[in-house]
Amino acid sequence: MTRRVLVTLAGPVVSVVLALLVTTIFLEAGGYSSLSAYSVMWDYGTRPESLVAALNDAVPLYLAGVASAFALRLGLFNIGIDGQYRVAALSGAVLAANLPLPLPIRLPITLLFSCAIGALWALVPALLRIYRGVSEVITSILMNSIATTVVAMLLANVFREGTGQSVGTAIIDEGGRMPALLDLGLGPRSTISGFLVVAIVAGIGFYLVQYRSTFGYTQRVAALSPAAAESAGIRVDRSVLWAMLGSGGLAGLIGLPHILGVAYQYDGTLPTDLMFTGLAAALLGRSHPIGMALGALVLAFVERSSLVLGLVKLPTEVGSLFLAVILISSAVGYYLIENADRRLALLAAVRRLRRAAAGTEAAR
Amino acid sequence: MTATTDAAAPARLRPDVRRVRAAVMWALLGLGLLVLARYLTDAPGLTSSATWGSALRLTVPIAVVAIGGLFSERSGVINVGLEGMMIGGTWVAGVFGWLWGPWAALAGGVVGGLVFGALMAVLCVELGLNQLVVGIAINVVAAALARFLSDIVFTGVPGGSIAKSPRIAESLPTVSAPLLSGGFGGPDLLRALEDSGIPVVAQFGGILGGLTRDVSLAAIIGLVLIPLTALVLWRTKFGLHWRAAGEEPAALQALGGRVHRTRWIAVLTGSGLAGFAGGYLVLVSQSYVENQTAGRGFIGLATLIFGNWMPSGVFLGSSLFGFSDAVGLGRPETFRALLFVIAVVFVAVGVLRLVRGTRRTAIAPLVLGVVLVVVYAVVPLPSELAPATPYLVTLAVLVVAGTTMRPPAALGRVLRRRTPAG
Repeated sequence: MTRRVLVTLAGPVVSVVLALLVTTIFLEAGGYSSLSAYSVMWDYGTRPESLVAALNDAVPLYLAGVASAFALRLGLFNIGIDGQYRVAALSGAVLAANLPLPLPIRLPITLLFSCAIGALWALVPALLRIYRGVSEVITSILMNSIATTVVAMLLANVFREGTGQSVGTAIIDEGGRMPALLDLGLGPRSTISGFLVVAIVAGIGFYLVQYRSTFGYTQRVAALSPAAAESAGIRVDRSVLWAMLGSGGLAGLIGLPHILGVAYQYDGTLPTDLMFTGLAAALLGRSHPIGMALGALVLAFVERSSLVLGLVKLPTEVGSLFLAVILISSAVGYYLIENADRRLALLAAVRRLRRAAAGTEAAR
Repeated sequence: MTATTDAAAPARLRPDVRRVRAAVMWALLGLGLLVLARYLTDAPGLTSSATWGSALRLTVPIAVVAIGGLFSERSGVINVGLEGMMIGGTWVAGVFGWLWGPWAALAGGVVGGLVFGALMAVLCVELGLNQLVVGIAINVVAAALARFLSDIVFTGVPGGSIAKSPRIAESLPTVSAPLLSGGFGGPDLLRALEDSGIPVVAQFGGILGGLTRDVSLAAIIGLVLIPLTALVLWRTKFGLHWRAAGEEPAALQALGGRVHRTRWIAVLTGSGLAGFAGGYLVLVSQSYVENQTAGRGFIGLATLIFGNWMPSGVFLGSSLFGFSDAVGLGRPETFRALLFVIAVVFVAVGVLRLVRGTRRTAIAPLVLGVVLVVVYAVVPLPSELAPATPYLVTLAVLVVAGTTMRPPAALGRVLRRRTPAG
């Protein structure tokens, strides 16, 4: 048991250490002092308000991680999350601003509507995969590019509010915004967003559906062997459809923390790299609901604390470089740990055999 | 464009009279349809030399990066990292071009791609890590690294910034076909044809003139790579090993081939080509600009799948994409004309399938074709939709065509090296 825990923990630790190592090499090669960079980052990042901000930032990353993990369980690679969350965020922003209902009704409707739009955008790749045998990767990529154009077009022609330079949808009033879960009273912007609850619910839902239900089991079988699944009466077609729809629906939530909690409208400030960072969180946490949460927290912490580097004349790109490197190092880290674990197990087995052989030798 | 359609499958490499005749017939039919659409919809842009020239320029980078992906994937290594390799290519090309001129920029592109190719080969071929993960990671790393290094190298240099390299002073020489389009100081016959205004003749002059006038040497190199790849893939000993590594690596190993070496070569060559495509982009805009690739690596990946992992298919797919991209960048009526052409083609395909008795496959093209005709006739299309043209066209063609995709059988399958410890 302790060994299992150690092995599980060693993966992420080795990944982070590897990523630190590589980032250090690049920093030193660029003529910067990596030590001072890290100490500045650590000092800034561990301030209470930075920690709160990192926790809030981790929510969309976690949702993106869960969304990609939902499709990955079936071996599907939903690279269309990018387009799905942008289209869904736009629809959610428009609906939340225009629905004349009180908050307890408006908020759930907004969330569900965004889920539905995200799922709808994922439906195209799913149907093409099932009926035309086209890989979901290629159609998702095309749908991402189409989403960019469609969002720009709708924003410029249909949903644009206000005049002049600002390109954004109507401002969402108090009755449509996500309320704060907890105000820590540490000055401005020290409130934990209610989306933390959404993320936790999504995580628990993911766990129950994928690990504890018949549906999750059929997904697992269909991923491991489609032929066996078919012969056991599992409709692989339907698995693909639901995996993509579920992934797209979860993806629909990714943009909402920003829309309903920060900007209160859809404009140019919506982060565009949430899919890849979320994917990094999923990889770091091995698609496990708790692992992904830790991964998202680590990544959000690094992202937040790297913001300070600009103030001390260090390149702020260090943060994104670190995030990028962690993607590779998490894969390498798990590889190293698993190999080491296997080798240790082998050595232990050999030793046991030797001892047993010696024992029989002595008895004879 | 249809002349080289199916030069790919091994038995078909030798020109066969029947196939050549069919290709010529299809080319003439396509030309006829374009001429018809040009007059029916009053869109001179559809057959002008400007559109076809830019179509050629837009086709090359996508074709080359897709061929790069073909190298890797035919050997069994999924390459989602094409975009990252391309980004690496653009950055190094920006540095080399700024220091040593345009030819160095092309070479630099290859170098930049190779850096990430080597990383991918080590992680995927040697260590056997998940290829999708490594590919995505390469994309993200390349983008972050390019920005980080730009800050160190380009910031503070005159003309450079964190998002841009200094301008590359010269560009590569361009050539035009002799006699036909004014190459080597000769007459420009096709221009005269295009300006004559005679139906059919003028359009013929426009299309051919656009394809043969002022073509960059880099574009020619890029296009020559496609038949060259087909030749290597189908006709050489290495090509046999290459395909075997992607279809049944264990069999290749049993027969004494070296799977890992083959995959190394294929991944490295592919990454070099992806970087070359990046270098080409740098030459077009005469400097490295951040986010210059704009997802072309992903489009190349889509083209590769679209082209069914065949060099000829890749060429067809990328030219369809390049042409619709050029049309989307052009005037709105050209865009509408393209819509008309596609609608006609879809309806024709649907009717053809109906006549041949395959009812079920006829539904999709018929429905889509009729919808497009209605859209063309009734809906005023906003001009903001034009940038999405190539993606929409590709998606529509996939809905109608894509059924018989066959990826290499061992795509993504890792063959471990035998280690002493087992």
